[in-house]
Formats: sequence, structure tokens, C-alpha cells
Amino acid sequence: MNRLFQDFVYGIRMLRKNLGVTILAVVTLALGIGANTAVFSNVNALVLRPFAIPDLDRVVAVWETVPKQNVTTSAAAPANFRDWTEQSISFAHLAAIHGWDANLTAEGVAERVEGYRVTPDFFALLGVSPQIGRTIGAVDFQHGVSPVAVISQGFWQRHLGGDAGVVGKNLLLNGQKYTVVGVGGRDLDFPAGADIWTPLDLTSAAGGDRADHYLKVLGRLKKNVSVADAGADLQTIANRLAQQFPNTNADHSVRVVPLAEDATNGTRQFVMVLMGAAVFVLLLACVNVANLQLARVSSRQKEMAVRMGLGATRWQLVRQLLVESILLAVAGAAAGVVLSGWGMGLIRRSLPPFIVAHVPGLAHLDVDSHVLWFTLAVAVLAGVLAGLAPALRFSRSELGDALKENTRSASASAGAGRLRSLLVVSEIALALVLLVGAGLMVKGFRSFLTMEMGFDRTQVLTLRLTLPEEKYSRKDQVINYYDRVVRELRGLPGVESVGCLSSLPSSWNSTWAEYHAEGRVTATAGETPYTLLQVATPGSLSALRVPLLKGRFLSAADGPDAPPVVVISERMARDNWPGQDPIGKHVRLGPRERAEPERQVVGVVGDIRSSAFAPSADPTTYVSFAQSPEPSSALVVRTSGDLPTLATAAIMQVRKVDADVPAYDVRSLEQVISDNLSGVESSANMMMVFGIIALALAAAGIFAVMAYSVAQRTHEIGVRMAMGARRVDVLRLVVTSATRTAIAGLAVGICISLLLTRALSSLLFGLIHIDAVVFVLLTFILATVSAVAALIPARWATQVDPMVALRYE
Amino acid sequence: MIQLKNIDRSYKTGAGQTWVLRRVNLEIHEGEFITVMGPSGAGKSSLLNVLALLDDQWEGEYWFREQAVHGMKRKQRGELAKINIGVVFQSYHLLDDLTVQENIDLPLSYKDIPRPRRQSLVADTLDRFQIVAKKDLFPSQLSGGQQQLVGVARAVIHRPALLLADEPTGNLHSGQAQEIMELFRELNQQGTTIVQVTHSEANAGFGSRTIQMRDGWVVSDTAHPEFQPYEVVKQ
Repeated sequence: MNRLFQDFVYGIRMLRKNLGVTILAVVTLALGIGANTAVFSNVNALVLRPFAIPDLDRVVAVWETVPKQNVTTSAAAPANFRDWTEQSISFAHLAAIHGWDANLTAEGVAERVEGYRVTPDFFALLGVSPQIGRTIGAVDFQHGVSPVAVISQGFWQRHLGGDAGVVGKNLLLNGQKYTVVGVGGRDLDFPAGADIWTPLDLTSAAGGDRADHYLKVLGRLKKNVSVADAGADLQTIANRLAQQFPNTNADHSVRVVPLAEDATNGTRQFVMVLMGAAVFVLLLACVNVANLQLARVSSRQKEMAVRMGLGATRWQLVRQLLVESILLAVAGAAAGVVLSGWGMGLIRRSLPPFIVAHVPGLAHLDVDSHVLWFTLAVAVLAGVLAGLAPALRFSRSELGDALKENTRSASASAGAGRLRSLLVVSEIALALVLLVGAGLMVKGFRSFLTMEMGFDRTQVLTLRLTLPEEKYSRKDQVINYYDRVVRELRGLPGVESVGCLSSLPSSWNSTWAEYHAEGRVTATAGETPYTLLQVATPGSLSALRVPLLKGRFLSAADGPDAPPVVVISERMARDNWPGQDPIGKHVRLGPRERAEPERQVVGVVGDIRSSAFAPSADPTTYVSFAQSPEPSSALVVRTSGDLPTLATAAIMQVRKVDADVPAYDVRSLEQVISDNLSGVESSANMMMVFGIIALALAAAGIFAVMAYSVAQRTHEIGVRMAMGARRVDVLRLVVTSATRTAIAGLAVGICISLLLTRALSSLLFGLIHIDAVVFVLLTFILATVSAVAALIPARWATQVDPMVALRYE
Repeated sequence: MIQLKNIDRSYKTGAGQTWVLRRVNLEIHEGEFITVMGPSGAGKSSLLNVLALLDDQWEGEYWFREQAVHGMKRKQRGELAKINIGVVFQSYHLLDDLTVQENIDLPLSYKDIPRPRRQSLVADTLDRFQIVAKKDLFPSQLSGGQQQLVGVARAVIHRPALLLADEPTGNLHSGQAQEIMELFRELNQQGTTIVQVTHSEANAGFGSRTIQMRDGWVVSDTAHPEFQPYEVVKQ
């Protein structure tokens, strides 16, 4: 321990001695370690701990699946959930939740809040305590009790000014009074973005329903029960239910998946790719510092030889050198934490608030103790990585030669030269991989952003409305309300067309329905096709400028009493009636056992991509709003005027129709699409930063190595000049050597990039794919930067005075 | 062949200027074998660097075969040296990573000589110096005498008119030194003008003329016994 302390003290002295090199190494490592700290903060918040739930690894999501139809994530039907709860033996708690968009009315103004109805075990399952009052329990489900609510900390502070006496007060939600019984703490963040939780009573008739699948089910595993055990347990019950209720449960299975994994599907891939990129940045930084250490240590050969002569073992020399590089890395880590804190602040500010609130873990993105421990571990690892090769290189026994005067240790310098070349080759290869990764991701993001999605996204305002069930319980009330809203909005200045859709393209809430098409022969027995279901008013498709290909659009004539009709997308027509005219054909939406009407196809419109991530347009069916009204809809308003002005006016008009129904998610359609891509944008930006760091580190590394190499070759250059070499000959000598190394690095880099691109292509939803232009351009940029970095020392070489160089030895 | 007129060379130091060559006047004729002697710091090597055109910071006049070197640009001086001058160093200055053959080829590689011609010249030189068997060895695999032999071979491969040698036997034992000096004599007899710097009286015996230097001044020259003594010049 005492010796280690001595190494530590001596290490600090040596680092202070070469302060310039020390600062350069610390900055380099700060970039590498800082990148890892920043990305690991994301991994920690988004992947490992997306929710502040105790023992999160024992909390699972339970999905119904229909393997025959390739359905892997279906919500649960209430009766199935009830049976799982009663019959399973694997869970300490099982709970179900159901989204509930409520309108909060206070002082005459309504505002939409994001609510969830939850079953009695929900809070016990989460294992979180309220900071004020109590959570929802069995008592709140008894017959005749007045409805209660638990509110989130954010809601409490935003809407109730953090009133400590809030418990017992009433909230008017969808026109009904709810008594606040508790306020959640900071750790009550499930589901992400939730403002309010109220009881979900499944004891009524709805609780016996096995056809409607709308419950998200969570479970907390008993101790010593694995996810696989729980899956097998529920599967046994599902098999039994399939036999008992073949109409609704035949072919239905169950899938149990850890909640953290379930909730981060989609973000995890991007975060892990960024983590991989950050590791590359760290390796690049380590290679740079290894080069610096190599130069530093090679100037201390005599010191090493003296130490060895005085009895130091090889391990002691290695340890001394490693302590120095670990000290560098720890200093770099400290600077890296500061850098990453700053970087994360930038990321958070760049993301739309909606995304921050709804992506699990994003709201808690921070440098916590886990991140700090990770950073320390990375620092030690980086110190060892950067210091090991130079330490091993210069602790070899033949260093005894260094003690002999006037003897050049040709073998040691040749070995160090080879190691240095190897480091530069890896540096260029790593830099190219990062640059290509960044380039492909940025290009992919840009192509997503400008992707032709089948509609005109410009000059369209969108807003969402959700009608309270209690006030709009009848279909005609819903139809009349939306009729009025559409009429009011159409009267605003500049508005060209207005319509309602059940979900916006690129929004997070789309509805899929199984259907039966007239005359369609299924490829496999038991196969049920699904269509994206849009309940639309007549103006919606023209507001989006979706082209009409055949027949007609939905019209005002398609009212509640008119024959049921649909308009379908081109893909839907192709899937069901290839080579035939779909006009006049019929489709029936919903499960076979339901008595849904046959709807006649009256028109075919162009395909729409539901999201930039979708590999192709989905088969879509547009149902007339008047024939199947939806209380929750999105409005699309096309204008020739200014969007922000229209937004203000539209909010006012909606309030005028019914002050209890607020407009929310008021954004331009372009914003909806770009918000949907904000995670990709953030990843692409981060990759771009990594790419720039990589380029800078590679340039600095090549420069340092070439400068060192020129210094080492002063004698050789002097001899060559004495033998008649001209400046251009010397320039060529140095540049050729740099070029050879750069070409090797670029070749290795291209191979690795090709392999990684191929692997990542499928992982990232087709965001990146091999692109010759990006490869060639970035290879050229890196080659140019390498050439410039090598050219400066090469020019120094031409300034060598042969007379001085020959005396140098 | 060479005329030096009032050659001065000094270095700027913290305290002022340090003179290493003072008003050097020297005439070297074709075919001479001159030995430059003197104590350490006398200016011998500095004079050799000026003659070799490795140094171009001197003042005065330098005439090489009627050409005014002092009026030439650096590039022209380099071309002149490349064609006419060969240099042998005390510590050989062979390149560690090149074989014997490649080291000898080095001066030719900087001239516009076709590769086959270069190969032929290298082969002739290896033969002439009887080191064919060692052509693929690296300098670290040779003895000091062998290394200097390669150094001399490299200096004369392009048949320079003037061969300059700075302490060519300084790192060799007497037997090896004798061999090198014999080689110099032979080259001189074949027409090469030689200027060597040495401390060794025995080596000086191989030359035809000896110049003594002290504190940057030429203080005696056997070709000019009437040359003013150093003290008088200083006054």
C-alpha cells in the first residue's frame, strides 16, 4: 500500500512535470469518458431504471398474444385478467390499468389531464408510497363510495399550487366530482406522463367481457419466481380459457416480459447503439492517450533502466506507469462528468416537453450515483487501456541497453514505432467507423424527416379533443358536437378545409381492427387480417390532401341512417382485391363474433404511412364518423394563413362550443411528425457530436504521432539531406509513411463500418443502410484531415538542419 | 578547385556572438589530400561543414571550380554538393533500418539516375569495397570498421571530386583505422581530392598537406610555411 502511495505521489509529480501533455491527455480522456457518462446516463434512466419502482426487475408486463395471427402485444380482456388474478400462483400482485383522458374543469376553464383508471392492487404492486394522504385501495371499490383520485406531484404543483391541504378536496373531472385522497411522490411515475389515477372497477358487467381487449396488465413476481415461470403459469390458464371459451380465447396465448424491457422497446435500440458509439469514442481517446504515454515513457527509458538496475521488477515498473495513466483518466473523468452534465442539459432542452414527459425515464435523466460509479469504473479501465501497451513496451529487460552510452536501442525504437503505427491505424479505423455511423444516422434522420408519407404535412394545424362520456353518452351528441366544432373552425379566416380523424399519422395512438373482406381467400387457415382503422369526417382526407384514386371520398350523405360505407387505401384494395375493382365490395370490421354491419367500399385513396418508422404504408380503412362516432378525435385544419394565429383562434372556438371540452396537443402536423422523430434526431445529433470528436481526436492523434516520428527521425532526415535529399524528398518520405498508415486505417475502418451498418440496419427500423455516397464522402474527409494533420509535421521535417541533426546523436 | 576567402562563421549566444571560424582563407587544389588538425573547439568540423555545404550561414567568399558558391541559393548549393561532394562521418551515420546495399544506394536515390544504372553502381561499389557478402545485413550486424567501410562506400559511390571526412577513424581501433586510411590514400591516388579532420598524427601522415586550426583561425599550413603565426594575426 505504501509503495502504491509512492507510485501515486511520483505519478502526480511526473504529470505536473509535463503539464502541457498532461492537459492534452486529460482533455482527450474527458471527451471519451464524458461521452460514456452522458450515454450511460441515458442507459441508466431509459433502459435500466425507466421507472422509480422498487425491485423493478420483478415487475412485468403481461400481454395477450395470438401467435397464429402474428399478434404479439395485445391488451388483455377484463374477464381474462380476472381469471389470471384468481388462478395464477406466480404473482404477489396483478393489476390492470386503462387510459382515461379526463377534462378537468376549474373556474370555468377546462383542461385535459392524462388519467389512468387502476385496479385495487396497482399501488401495492408499484410499492411506492404517497407523499401526502394515501393511495387507492380496496375500500375505494366498494359499492356506493364516491369516486376518489390520487394525483401526481407534477399535477399537484402545476394545478393546485402544491397545496398541503389538498387531501379531501374535490376535482371536477369530466363533470364528475372526484375526492383527492393522496399525492404521489417523485417516484410515482407510472405510466410515464400520468397526472391522475382513479379506480377501475371490473366487478360490473364489463368485467365479464372477453372480446374487448383494452387493459394493460402488470404483475409483481413473487420472490424466487422467474419471468419464464410466470409465463408458463399464465399460459396454463390461457390454455384452459381457450378450451372453455373457444369463441373469444381460441389460439390466445400469454407473454410475460419485464416491465423495463417492455416500456423501453424502441428507445433501447437507439440508446444501446449510442452506447456502442460512446465506447468507440472512449477507445479512440485511449489510443490517443496511449500514443502520448508512449512518447512520454520512451523519453524515460533511462529512468526505467535505472529502476530496473536497482532491483525494480517488471510488474513494479508497469504499476508505476499504470498509476500515472489512471491518474490521468480519473482527472479526465472529473472533467467528463462536467461535460456530460452540460451535454445532457442540452439534450433535455432540445426535446419536446411531450416526449420528455412520455418516454419512460427521460424526465429523470441525470448524473446519479450509479452513473458516477460507472464513470469511475470507466476511468480506471481507460487508464489501464491507455497505459498498458506503453507500460509493457518499456518495462522489458532489454532496456538495460539504455544505460550504455552512445548506443541506440534500435530494437526498442523499432518496436515502439510498430506499436505507434498500430495505434494510429486503429485510431483512423475507429474514427471512420464513428464518422460513418454518424453520417448514416444523420442522413437516415433527414430522410425520415423528408420522407414522402402520402399526404401534405404543410400548413395543417392539428388538435385533439376528448368528450367526457358522462356528458356525451349518446352518439348523436358526439356527432353534433364535432359537427359544430368543424363548422366553427371552417369559418375562421384562412381555413381551407377541416376534418376529424381518430388518429394522426405519426401520433402514438392508432387503432387496428381485424376485418373480413368480401371474397378474400386467406392464405392460411385461421388467419385474420388487420387494418388500421380511421374514423373520419368528410373533410379530413382533403385537409391532408390525400389523393382520391377511385370512387368518391366520404361525404355528408354518409350519415347515421345511410348505408354503412368505407373508403379504403390503395394497399387495402391491393391486399384484398388484387386486379379487381374494389368499389362496391364489402368489409366487416371487428371480431367475427360481433354483429358488425357490412360496409360498402365507396372510394380508394392514396396510401399513408402511419409513421416514418413504418417500412411501408399500412392497409387503412376510413369509416364515416357519422356512422361510428368517436368521443376522442384529432382535428386537422388546413389553412392558407399563419399557423400560430390559427392555433389561438381554434382553441377559442373549441372553448366556445363547450367550455368543458379543452383542445389539447395543439401542434402543426409538421411538428407532430418531427416530435415523433425527436428521439432519432437526438440520437443523430449525439452521433454527430461523437463523429466530430472522433475526427478531432484522429487528427490530433495523427498529428502527435507524426510530430513525434519526425522528432525521432531527425537524425535520419539529417543523414538523408547530407546525402543529397531535397526538401521535397523529405516531405515525400514523411507523407508516404503517414499515407501508408492512413490507408491501412481507412481500409480496416471501411470493413468494420460495412459490417456494423449491416448489423444495425435491421435493429434501427431501417434508419441506416449502406450508402456509398456517405462512405466515400466521409472516407475522403477523414483522409484529408489525416493528410493535413500529417503535413504539418512533414513540413517541420523539411526544416531540419542537417548539420544540427548530425550532431544530434 | 576551392577557394575560401575571409570565411567567418559565428553563432548567436546569450552573451553575444561566438566565433567558430575567423577570416579563413584557404585554397584547395585538385588531387590534394589535406588534413585539418587542431584541439577541440578549434573550428575543424565547422570548416568541414562549410566545405560540405551543409552549413550556409557563413560570410565571405566560397569558390568551387570557378563557381561563386556564396552567390548561390540554397537549392543550387544542394545540387552542387550532390554532384561533387561526398562526406564520411566519425559516427558513420548509417540508417539503422536500411541494409548495407540500401545505405550505399541512398545518395543515388536522390539523383535522377535510372534504377538499373543505380543497381549497377551499387554492385560495382560493393565489389570494389569487398562487402558483397554483407549487402543484405543491417548496420547493427556489422563491426565499427565494417560500418565505416560502408560509410566510405556510400560517400564515394557517385564518384565525387571532393571527399570530406570528419574524424573517420575516431570510433575505430588502430587496425581498422589503418585499413580506412589506406582506402583514402587509394581513392586520392585515383584522383579524388580529400579533406580529412583528425587528431591522429598517424592519419595525418597519409595526407599531402596539413592545416592547423585554433579558436577558429587557420594558424599554419604546410603548403605555405610563410603563413603568419596565429598570435600575429590576432593582433
